[in-house]
Amino acid sequence: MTDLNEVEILLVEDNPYDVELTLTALKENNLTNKVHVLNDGAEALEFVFATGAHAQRNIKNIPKVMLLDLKLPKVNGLEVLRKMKSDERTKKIPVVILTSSQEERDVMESYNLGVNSYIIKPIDFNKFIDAVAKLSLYWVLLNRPPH
Amino acid sequence: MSLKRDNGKMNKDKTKEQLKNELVELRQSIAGLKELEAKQKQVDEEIRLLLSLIQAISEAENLNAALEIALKKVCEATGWDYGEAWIPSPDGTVLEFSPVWYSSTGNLKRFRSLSEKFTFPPGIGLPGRIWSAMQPEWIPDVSMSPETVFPRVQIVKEAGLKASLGVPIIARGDVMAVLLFFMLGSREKDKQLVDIVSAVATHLGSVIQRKKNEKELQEERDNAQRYLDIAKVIIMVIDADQKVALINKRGCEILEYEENEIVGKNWFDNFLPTRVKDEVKAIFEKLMEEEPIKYFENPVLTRSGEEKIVAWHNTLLKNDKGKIISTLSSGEDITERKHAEEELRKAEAKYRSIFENAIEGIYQTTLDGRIASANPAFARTLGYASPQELITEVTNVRNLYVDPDHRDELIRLIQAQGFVENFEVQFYCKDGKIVWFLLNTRVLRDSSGIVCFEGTATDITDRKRTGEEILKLNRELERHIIQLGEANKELEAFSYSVSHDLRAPLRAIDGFSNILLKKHADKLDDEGKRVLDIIRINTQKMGELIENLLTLSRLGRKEMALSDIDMCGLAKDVYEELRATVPGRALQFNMKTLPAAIGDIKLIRQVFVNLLSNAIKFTRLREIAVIEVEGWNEKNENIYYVKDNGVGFDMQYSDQLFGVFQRLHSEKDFEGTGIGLAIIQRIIHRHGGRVWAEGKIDEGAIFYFTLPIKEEKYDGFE
Repeated sequence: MTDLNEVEILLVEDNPYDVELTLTALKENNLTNKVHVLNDGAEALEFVFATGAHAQRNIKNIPKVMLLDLKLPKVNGLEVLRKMKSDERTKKIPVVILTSSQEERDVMESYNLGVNSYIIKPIDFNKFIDAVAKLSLYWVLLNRPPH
Repeated sequence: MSLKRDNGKMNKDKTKEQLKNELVELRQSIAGLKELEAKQKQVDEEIRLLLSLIQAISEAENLNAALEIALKKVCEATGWDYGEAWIPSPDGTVLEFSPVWYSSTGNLKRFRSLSEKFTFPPGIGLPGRIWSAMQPEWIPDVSMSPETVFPRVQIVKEAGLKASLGVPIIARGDVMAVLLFFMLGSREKDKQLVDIVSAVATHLGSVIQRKKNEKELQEERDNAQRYLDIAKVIIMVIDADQKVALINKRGCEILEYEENEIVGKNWFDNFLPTRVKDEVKAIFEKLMEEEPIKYFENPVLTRSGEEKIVAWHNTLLKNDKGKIISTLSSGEDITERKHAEEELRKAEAKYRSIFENAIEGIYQTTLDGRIASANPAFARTLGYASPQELITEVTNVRNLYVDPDHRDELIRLIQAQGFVENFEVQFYCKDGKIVWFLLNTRVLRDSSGIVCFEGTATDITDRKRTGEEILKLNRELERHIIQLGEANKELEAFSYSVSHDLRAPLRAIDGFSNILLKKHADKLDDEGKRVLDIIRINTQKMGELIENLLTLSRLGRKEMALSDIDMCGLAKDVYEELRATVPGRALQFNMKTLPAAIGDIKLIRQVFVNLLSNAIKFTRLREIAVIEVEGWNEKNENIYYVKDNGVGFDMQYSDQLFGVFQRLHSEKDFEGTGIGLAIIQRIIHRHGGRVWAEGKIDEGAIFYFTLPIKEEKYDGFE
């Protein structure tokens, strides 16, 4: 398992099949090394704020990108986004909403909260692989995060 | 007189002595005769004096003039040298010096001016004594009298006057004046002279008395005339011969005639309108027969031909013998009052008519609850045949109230503020039904306090019922709105979960089918691969269905951004895009003119996409697909259509065309989700327009839609 202080892609997704398909897509692009998967919003918050189960983690080590689903158990994706973007320590973490929702209000709300990107998961597997691959490559390889 | 008789007894047979005696007697008789003659002469003079005095005094204009004449005549006729008069002062306490006097001699100026200063109380001095005693007094020589007897003794000495006679002039038992006569020489009392002067004085008294009576009568007459003239009513006397004997100034004014134009004229023939002449004459005749008619009114005719109404009060005038000789009438011009009464009567009739014919109930009730008056409407609404029936049967208005406490509250409010507006109450009708009234009531007071309540009662039973119905409908509507809101929320939640939860499994099916095909291809035979492909095709299909359903649901909620739309350009754009997706097809696109529209361009684009893609789809079997687009303006809307020469449809199913998931063709012949037309309908309805379709199997179809020209109809309640 990846060292939690070196996580590059943080995937927050409760649906195991979506997790598997996403990881499949990442694997096809050799990006699975530093991926960490979290299954609900509460866990995601503990991870980024280095609290609870993740209290040992250094909060200063931030992932290159967080792929965040909206519909999550315990704390939903928009709430996770709100908390992260309203805290100086976590607001710089690039967050990409990766969701099935095409709802305009979800899109608007996410951007209002400061999301970095909003991607709708295609149903078509090939398109889905393509989308995940492109966004991961972009954020992990092309994007230059602040230090 | 006896001498005269003796004179006739002379005898022829007389002795000398007898003759001597007779002679003496004769002489005496002659002397007596002479005396008699002188006496006769004196009497004659007296008579002459009296006659001339009577004449002169009667002609005298006033007391002073009469006195002056009397003084002069008495002095001249009876040998007095000076005469003066003393008159009681207005307060009756003293006698004062009168300016009237007469003198035949000497200069008496000084005497007069000194006398002027004297006044004599009763009993004092010569004038005072005569005043008190009312008797003549003679003083043979006043200059020899002591001052107590004659106070002016000093000045009379200087004037040289001596003998004096004073007489009172008495009228109605009062001394009107005291006349004093003086002579330059002294003289013993001459009874005869006293008698003459007294006779003159007596006569003077009666003349003065008569003069005074005449004057008083004249004054009375003047007063009466004045009263008549200042009277504000007509005062008129009509004699038995129907002629006006007297009319006052007011009467003349009202009739616009001069007095002499009325007096002596027949009242009935000249001063009454012809139509009432006989009637009024009959009243006059009854009056003259002492029938008790005290009061009547009749019109009179003025000079200018105007009629005035006069109210008469009458009394009768009788002569000494008690015979009726005329009527005395006082008449008041009541024309204006009559007109005012007439106006009042008209006004009363007008308001009575309003009262009688009003649709609203009008009533008056007393403090103790009696209905004092009610109009027919009020009685009718309460189910009574007449106001009288209502008033008789409802002895206490409190019994009308469904809730008698309302009556108490009403009265409390009226007493507090004097009126009550729009007070809603329920009254029992005669048959027990309940009506709603809106009461507007005010209090009527006089100096003794509240007299009654009066007001209007509007029957608002229907209004109440309607109001209640409206309230009920409103409540229902509110409930529906809430339900609708809840339904909308549910729908949103539903589509939200569709969006999320339905797509995830599909993605899994597709994803893992794909993984199976790619990574485990060696374990699958051809049939296995075909089945997996079918799975994947249906997954895509379901994804599409979900996509379309979500689109449809979003259409109802999404806000519209209205703008001017170039419909020609839009249709052409969409057509070009769609044509590119079917490169092998032979398409003929007939683009006619389309009026510009106002709408949400994204949504209208969707309409064209759906319509044109349908047209392309359903003309697939034609060698050359002919697609026509046209539009025009009609009244307040633009009508557009998209026509094709495709497979068409059976018109009997045309009403199903726009339903969700409604398809008229098999999936095998023409792919599709059955949502496209539903989306068109939703979009057009949101724009306030209409959609419909015409078609025939194998002969193509025409899809129409309209867009309103005016903005206000856009985006109604969905």
